[in-house]
Amino acid sequence: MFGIMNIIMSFLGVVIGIVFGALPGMTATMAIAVFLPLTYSLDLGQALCLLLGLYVGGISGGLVPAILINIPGTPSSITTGFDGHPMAARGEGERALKIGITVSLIGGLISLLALFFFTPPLAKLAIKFSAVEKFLIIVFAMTVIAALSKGSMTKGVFAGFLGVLVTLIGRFFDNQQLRMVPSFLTVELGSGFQLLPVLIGLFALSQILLEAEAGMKRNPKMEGGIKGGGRGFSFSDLKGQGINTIRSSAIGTFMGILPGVGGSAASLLSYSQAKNFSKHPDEFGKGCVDGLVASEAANNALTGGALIPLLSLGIPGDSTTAVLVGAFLLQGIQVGPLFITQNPDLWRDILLGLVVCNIIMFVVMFYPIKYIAKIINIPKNRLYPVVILMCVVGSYAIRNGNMFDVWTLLIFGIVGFVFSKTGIPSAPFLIGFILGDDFEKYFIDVLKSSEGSFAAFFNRPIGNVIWVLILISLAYAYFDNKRSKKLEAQNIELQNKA
Amino acid sequence: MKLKIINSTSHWVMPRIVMVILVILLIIIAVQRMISCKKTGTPFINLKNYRFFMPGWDKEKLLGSILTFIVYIYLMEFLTFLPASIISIFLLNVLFDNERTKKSMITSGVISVGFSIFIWLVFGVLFRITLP
Repeated sequence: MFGIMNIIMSFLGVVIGIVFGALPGMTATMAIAVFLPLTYSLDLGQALCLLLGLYVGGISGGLVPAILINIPGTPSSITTGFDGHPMAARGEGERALKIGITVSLIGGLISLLALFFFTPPLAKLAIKFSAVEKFLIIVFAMTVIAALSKGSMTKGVFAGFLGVLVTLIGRFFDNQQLRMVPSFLTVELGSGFQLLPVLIGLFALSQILLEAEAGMKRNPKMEGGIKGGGRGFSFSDLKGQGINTIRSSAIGTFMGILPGVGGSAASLLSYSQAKNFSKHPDEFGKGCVDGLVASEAANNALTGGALIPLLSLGIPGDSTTAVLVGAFLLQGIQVGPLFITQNPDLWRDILLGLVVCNIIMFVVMFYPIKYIAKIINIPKNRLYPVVILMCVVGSYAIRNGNMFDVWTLLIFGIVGFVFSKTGIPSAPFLIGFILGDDFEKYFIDVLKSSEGSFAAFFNRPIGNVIWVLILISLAYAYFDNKRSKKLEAQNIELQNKA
Repeated sequence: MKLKIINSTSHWVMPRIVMVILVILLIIIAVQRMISCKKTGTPFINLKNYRFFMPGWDKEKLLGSILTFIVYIYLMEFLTFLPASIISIFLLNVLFDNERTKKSMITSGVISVGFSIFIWLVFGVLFRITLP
């Protein structure tokens, strides 16, 4: 039953999510990772409402500092500041914020429609999958990661396979043998590294370490209020933005479906498309409403899109939904093709929860925007110690009190730090880590039933369709990688000339 | 091509395959770097100009936070959750703060005691989550 507790949890989630989103250096992924332990004792419906609220709020809150101080609150609001900040600079801060919030709501709801219509048929198709297709769909997910790691394709794939290798540490389910475990850690590492401390480390602790390295400088203060004497907001501001909003939402949703693509890629693509289609592309970057709409519609549309592969195939669409996998596992629920048929109530709760969270987000941000804007003045160096405390609690409690999991948290915090220093993306690593066990299981299952013959991977019709998709994405990866390298070289040349 | 799965050694099949893939990827990354180094005329290994940390990085805050974290783990083993958290959260607050005045020390103290007790109450007492 979707009751009053679900609404309260959604509200809590949205508000806390907005705070995390609005503080640069704290992200939606971090919010979910940190609050996951609170869900241990909630029932699944309420837990999901809290987490979806954090997700929607976290993505939405990012527009506040992007517009007011030109620093994106989350990676997905990078392009929001391009046009939002010039608007604020000429005294239209409130107008920019309210336009952003309104199209965020529309983007979120459009992606929800996509989630509602596309997930069940995709899941229905996936139920017919044998081990061959299940294995191939994971390979496909990995190649898509490669295709979309702009200019750093090999590093993206490397991160993905490294994640697979790390998740294989521990006991193999088939023959109960340990592998890659040092002899003094056979008890602690028998079941491998736990997902939750790994992801909290990668996405929360490493972020804090990066901020510590930079000296935890305070964000620039917002000058004056959000009302600067410029034009105020009216809903007629959105006239003529219909096509832009729908196109941007569609791009955001689609980018959400592709595994390993974050909100930043979605909003960048949607922004550049809006510029391409615009009749006045010169105004982009100078406070053009179209640019703001494109960015905000796309990053909120990502939320629904990223849930589609998660709930139909069990493959997370972005790092935040990868954290949601952890939430489902904690409650003993396997996400995958059977999820909707086995849990119809939960599926309804998720859809309802997302509608409610989007509406709460709008109400909480639109009317009291004057106060919401003040969030960016919260000193984050006072919040980080508390975040660390919650990370520790979450990691410790995952196996009912195991200090090794707190060590895991620290280790992967440092790993995440090293990754970002060496340009290795963390999201593909996490996706590899999550899918690695299944990757191995299906591979071994197929070879066992075919008595070792690799031909088994090629003699199923749906499997061959997936092979074609894999080849297409590899070809795309190759050419796109070449093109973006060329563009990069041209840019460097231009800069050198200048 | 065939690959017979023998039960007693099956646990090494996938790790080996993944390791081979990783080595191949490393070679590709190295070759790519070599080509781009040749084009731009920079040496392949350039230790002199290599910077892992950002220029002017905050040694105290970064190393201090890792060290405090390790201390925190040991404190939890010996002192249990609440006192260990109050001490560590206080240390982290002082460490992350950019000023060390009396007023900011008091703020650090209030935050560390307040939040540690709050989290202990919410997680440990209200939600009955296992704490150290």
